[in-house]
Parts: sequence; C-alpha cells; structure tokens
Amino acid sequence: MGLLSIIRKNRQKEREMRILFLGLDNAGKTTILKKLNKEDISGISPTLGFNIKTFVHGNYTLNIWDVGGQRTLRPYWRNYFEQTDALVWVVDSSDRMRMEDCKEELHSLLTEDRLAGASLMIFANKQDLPGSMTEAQIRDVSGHRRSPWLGLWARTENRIKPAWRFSNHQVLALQSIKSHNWSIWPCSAVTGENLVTGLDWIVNDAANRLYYSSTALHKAIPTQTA
Amino acid sequence: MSSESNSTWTFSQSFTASFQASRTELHSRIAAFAATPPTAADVEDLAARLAKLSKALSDASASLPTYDQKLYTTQIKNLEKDIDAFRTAAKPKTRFAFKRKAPTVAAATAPPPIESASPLPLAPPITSSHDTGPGPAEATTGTAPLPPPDSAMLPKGLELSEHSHRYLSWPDLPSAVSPGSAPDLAISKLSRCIVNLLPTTEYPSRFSALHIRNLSDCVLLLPFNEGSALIHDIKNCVLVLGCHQFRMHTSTNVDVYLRIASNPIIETCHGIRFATYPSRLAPQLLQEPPQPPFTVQDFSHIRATRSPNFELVGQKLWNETRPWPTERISDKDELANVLIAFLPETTSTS
Repeated sequence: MGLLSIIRKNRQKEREMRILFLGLDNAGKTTILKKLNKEDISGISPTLGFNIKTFVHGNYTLNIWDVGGQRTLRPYWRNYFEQTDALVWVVDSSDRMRMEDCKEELHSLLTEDRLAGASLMIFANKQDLPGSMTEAQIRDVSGHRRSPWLGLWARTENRIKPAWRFSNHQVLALQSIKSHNWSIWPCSAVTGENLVTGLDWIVNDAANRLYYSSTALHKAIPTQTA
Repeated sequence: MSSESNSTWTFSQSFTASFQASRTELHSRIAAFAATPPTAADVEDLAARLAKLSKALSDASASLPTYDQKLYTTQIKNLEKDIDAFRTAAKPKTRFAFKRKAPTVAAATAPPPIESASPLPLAPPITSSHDTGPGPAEATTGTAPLPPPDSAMLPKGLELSEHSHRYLSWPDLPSAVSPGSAPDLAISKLSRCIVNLLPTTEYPSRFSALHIRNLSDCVLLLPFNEGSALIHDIKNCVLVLGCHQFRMHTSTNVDVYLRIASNPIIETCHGIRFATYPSRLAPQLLQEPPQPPFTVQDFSHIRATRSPNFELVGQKLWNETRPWPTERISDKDELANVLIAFLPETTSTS
C-alpha cells in the first residue's frame, strides 16, 4: 500500500454529502428514508419537525435531512438550506389535486440562492398505486414543443397507467428548470422500487461537482487494475 | 472575553430576578383558584401567561447556567401541571392524558403484508436535457402517432364527486372495483350525502390512498385502508375510517372514528372530535387485540399546552350503540333525518 493510496483512503473518509428531502406533506419522504435504511415503515406518523439519517452509500457518507411538509412547517424549510449539496423533491404521484401546489413550492425553492447549484432529483413516489400519474406526466406537459411526444411516450411505455389530461396543463414544468441539474425517477417507497438507483444518480451527480478531481481519479483506477 | 462573560452574568442575574417574580405571581394566582374553581377564560389567561414565561426562558437559555435552566424548567413544568389540573377539573369527561409520546411508539406493531405487491415495471428516468443532450424521451418516440389522449377515456383513480342529497355506495363508483385490488379513491364536492363503502361480500375491496376534499354535511363510512388519508376543507361531517396515516387540513366540526397505528394530525382545523372505529361496523375488530390509543397532533398548535382545536372522546360518542346507516336509504326525507341525527353541528346544539 503506497502512500498515495493511504492518502486517498483517508480522503474517502471525509466524503460527506448533505442531502435535503423536501416535498408536500403526505409525499412519503420519511417512508422513503426508512425504506432506504431498511427500517419498518408501518407506523410512521406525519413528521413534526425533522429527521436526520446518516448512512454510507457507496463511497460517501450521506447526511439526509427530512423536513416535515405540512403547510405550517414549510416556512421553516429555509433553515435547512445552508450547505445543501443535493435536493430531493418527493412528489405524491396520486395527489392530482395538489400538483399545482407542488409545482409552486418546488419552483419557489429553486429560486433560493442558498440552493443554487445543488443537484435536484424528483422522486415520483407512490407508483405502486393504480391511480398514480407516471413520471412522464408529472415532468412537464404544457405548451412545450415536446409535449405531445412526451404524452405519447407515457402511453406507449406504460399502458396500464391512467394518463393525465395533457391539454394546456403544466404539471411540474420541469423542462423549464435550467438552474439545476435535475432528474425525475418513478419510485415506490412501499415496494422499494428505484429508491437506490435514484439515490445513486443524485449522489453521483453531486459528487461529480464536489469531488471532481477525485471522482475522475476513481473512474480511472478500475481500468488500470483490470 | 471577560467583559462578555461579565455581561452574561449580569443578564442571568437580571433574568433570574424577573423570571422568579413572574413565576411567583403566576403561582399565587393559581393558589388563589384552589378555593374557587377558575372559569375557562381564567385558565386560558393562566396558560397564556405561562406560555410567555416559558418562551422567555427558552429565549434566555443560551445565557443561563445549566443548573438554573434545569431548575426553571421544572418550575415551569409544575405550573403547567397545575394549570392542566384546572382544565381536567373543568372537563372531567375526557379520559385520555394528552402526553406527547416518543415518536417510536408504533414501532412494535407488525408491518402489514404490503410488500408482496408486485412492483410495476418502471420506465427509465429522464434527466434534464441540458446535461444529457437528447433524452430517452426522444429515443422512444418513433412509434406510430396515436390521437391525443381523450380525457373522457382516461381512467384515473376512483372518484366520487359532485353529488348532493344522496346515499352513495359501491354501485355508485364510476368504474367497477376488481375484488382484491386496492385502488386509490378521491371523494370530493359532496353535500348532504351518506357514503357507505364498507366491505360487503359482494364488494370485499379496500382502498389504498384516500383523498377527501370539499365535503359538507356528510357521513362517510369507509373500511380499513392500507394507504394514507389526506383530507382538506370539510365541514360538519362524520368520518369513519381506518388508515395508515391521517392528515386533516382546514376543516371544522368533524367527528372522526379512526383506526390507525400512527399519530393522526390536524392543521388549521377546529372542532374536531376523535373516537375509535366502531366495532359494530367491523365485527372482526372484536377478535383483534385493541390498538393502543393514538395521540393527535395539531400542527397549528405546537406547544406544551393542549390544543383547543380537537378533543378525544374515546368510545363515548355513542359509537357502539349508534344506528349507523349501513342500509341504503332512498327516501330523501329519511336521509335528511339520519343526517340531522348524526352530524356534529346538529347534534351538539340539541
């Protein structure tokens, strides 16, 4: 073991990342976290305040802050913005009645200076429910050049899902987001579908920004040894 | 450095003086009420004074020595207890203690077997176009163009909406529910209706997520559901349901008969009464061990004092003896009479 690898190992220990989980109440933020952490998800109460979970994911130690989404708690979200590396926005895909509310809250977050640059992942949660919107329906639909195509895609890919009314209806207007690197993942906290893959994406995306030089190094290592 | 600690010292000195002064004053007020029981307004006044004092303490806690902090906190707690005693004396009916439990209470209950639901094949994710160039969306759009989706032919989750003066049950749902499935259900814009979706031999289904919005003067009889219930803007209603999580927003005068393993919450609500799910409507309950009583949290009243917006009535709300309207009622007058008998506003004033 050479000196360089010792130094590199040491550096790995310091690799921490602060991830903020936000979204409207009933989106499933706490349930996703508990499921990721392999805890029991049957008796979770709505979050009064916040939860912190720290766990190791790949090469990184994640400090995940899960803040309650009730309307009374939303003004306090700003207290958690500082030093956030990645933002996970959780959407209840079955909650059609509040998609507008969901969109407004998300877009107002994205104008925050302290969240500038943070990677953004949208979890389109509750895909296990038969009445949920697909992630394509949630992403963006309206008035956008690409919208009819996206709608089509949703129907052909996943026929069993009921589709949303596409005409003139912005759902989350994600395509308009230019300020953050974003990605949307359909998932289910109950079945665990896509939770880890989604987390992989956001951790890698944030890591590429935060630990640019060392991630580049890391990628180079396997090819050398192989 | 020394000047800083000096100022902290002076602050804690003066704080101690003012804190003890207001504490003794409050204490003597409470003592005065020992002979003559205070009115509700008196109790509220005491509670408000205590809240102010407790706020002052928490604001000052950074500059107080640890020992003093602990002492003052216990003193405040004792006062709180006294005031609470007045409350319970004024309202001896309530059986529950309103303690905030540790958040891990429900961990002991067994997880429901929901894991077995087969995961749907999920589509690949789409990333933002500016970092990946052409996304997979474009890659998959080579299929033959279909006509734009017609909103009429699109099934959503089940929906029960825009009815008044009706008795609604399974046959009134817009699409048939296949037995054994657990669809999500939205109930909205009803007035003066009775909704009965209790499981029957013909319709043994349950629901997953429940979305309830804009109801007035309704009675809802719902089964135990696996998902969460999200409720907005309902007035003068009776809700009977079992669910995984319960959230109610901006509602007034609602009786909730609930079976739940987590803590139900309310936000900007008023006049909510909570009771347990009546076993008459779910005979299997009698064979199951009783669930531990739930603790309601009011997000509009996050304080040590009790929220004025709800009460727990245990099983007292005639819940076992009431003639629940489980049979279809087609006569409008009879429906109106049943509603009058059940709804909170009409019953509480009579």
